Amino acid sequence: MGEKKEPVVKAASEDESEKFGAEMYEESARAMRQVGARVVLSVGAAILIWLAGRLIFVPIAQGLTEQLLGYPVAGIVGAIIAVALAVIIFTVFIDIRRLTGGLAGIMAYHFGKASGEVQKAEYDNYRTALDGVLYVVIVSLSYLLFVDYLATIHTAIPAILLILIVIWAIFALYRSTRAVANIVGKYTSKAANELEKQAKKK
Amino acid sequence: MSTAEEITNFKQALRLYGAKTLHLLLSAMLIWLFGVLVFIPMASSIGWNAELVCTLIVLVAFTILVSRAISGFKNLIDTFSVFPARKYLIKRGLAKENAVAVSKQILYMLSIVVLYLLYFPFLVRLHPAFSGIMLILVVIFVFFLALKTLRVSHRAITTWLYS
Repeated sequence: MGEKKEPVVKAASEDESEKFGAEMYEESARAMRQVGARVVLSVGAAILIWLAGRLIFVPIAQGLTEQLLGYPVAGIVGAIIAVALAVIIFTVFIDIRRLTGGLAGIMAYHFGKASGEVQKAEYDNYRTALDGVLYVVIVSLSYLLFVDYLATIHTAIPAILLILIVIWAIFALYRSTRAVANIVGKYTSKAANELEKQAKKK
Repeated sequence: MSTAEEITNFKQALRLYGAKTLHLLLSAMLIWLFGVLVFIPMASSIGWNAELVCTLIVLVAFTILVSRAISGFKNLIDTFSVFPARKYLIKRGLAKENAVAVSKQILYMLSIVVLYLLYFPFLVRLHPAFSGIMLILVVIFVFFLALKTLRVSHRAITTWLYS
């Protein structure tokens, strides 16, 4: 994995804002170069492992009646594939965080430029918002990859895992929208001030 | 109340409740979207009991967020209702107080119908009769709101019809 660089976010003046934007684009391009290909390869590998497991290994294992250490072979094969997928998905998670950092910076730059200011807090808010929603999407997609293998270990596992994911997602989305509300809150107070100015003019 | 006071009221409500209400409503919306479009279909592929548990979890989270947002949302509606009243109703001959009341009731009615539509997918999954019972309650509530609206605006409506 490439060296992780957190973007330095300052700003206020137009020059600093432009500099921040350029830095964010650079950071985003660097992140894309360093981890973009790896994310695509990891996702490709995860899908291939999932396909091979579902179409080849698990059907073969299900045809075997022997048990290994008291466990059915299909369950053990399912567990091995689930662990392999878990490792791949974990690396994708780390890489995605890097990509969202750059993307959040670009968003903070563009929206901040429109309102005349780019601030560290705004960057953090965009990042939190993006991270939250993307994590829930990735976890949901990952769950779909895991569900068949987990069911071969025990039929209750996918249900329990899904319930845990739902509870976690609720908290993750709540945290993510707090960041969005912080961003929008700033605009609403500006809009309120604007409204007051217009009323005074009348 | 003068225009400046109305705007100040709305501004204060926006400052006091805007960000918090928006946060709660956005969270509720995102949880609804993920719940109804992603998690509940996933759970239904496992079995009816997993679907029921997931539906209950999402329903409880959604209800908590919406109930926490309601007071702020009501305040925002109350202070905001002056603007549509001024723009659409006062021009049509309604007295200012009546126009504000009508605009407020219309906004309440819209909010209740939207809320019912958001609850519909959960209620149908729990039992189709739940959604029916809720619909009946919503219709009764909307009827009373409409009655209140008509009580203050019937003169303007008849004048408009005969003109």
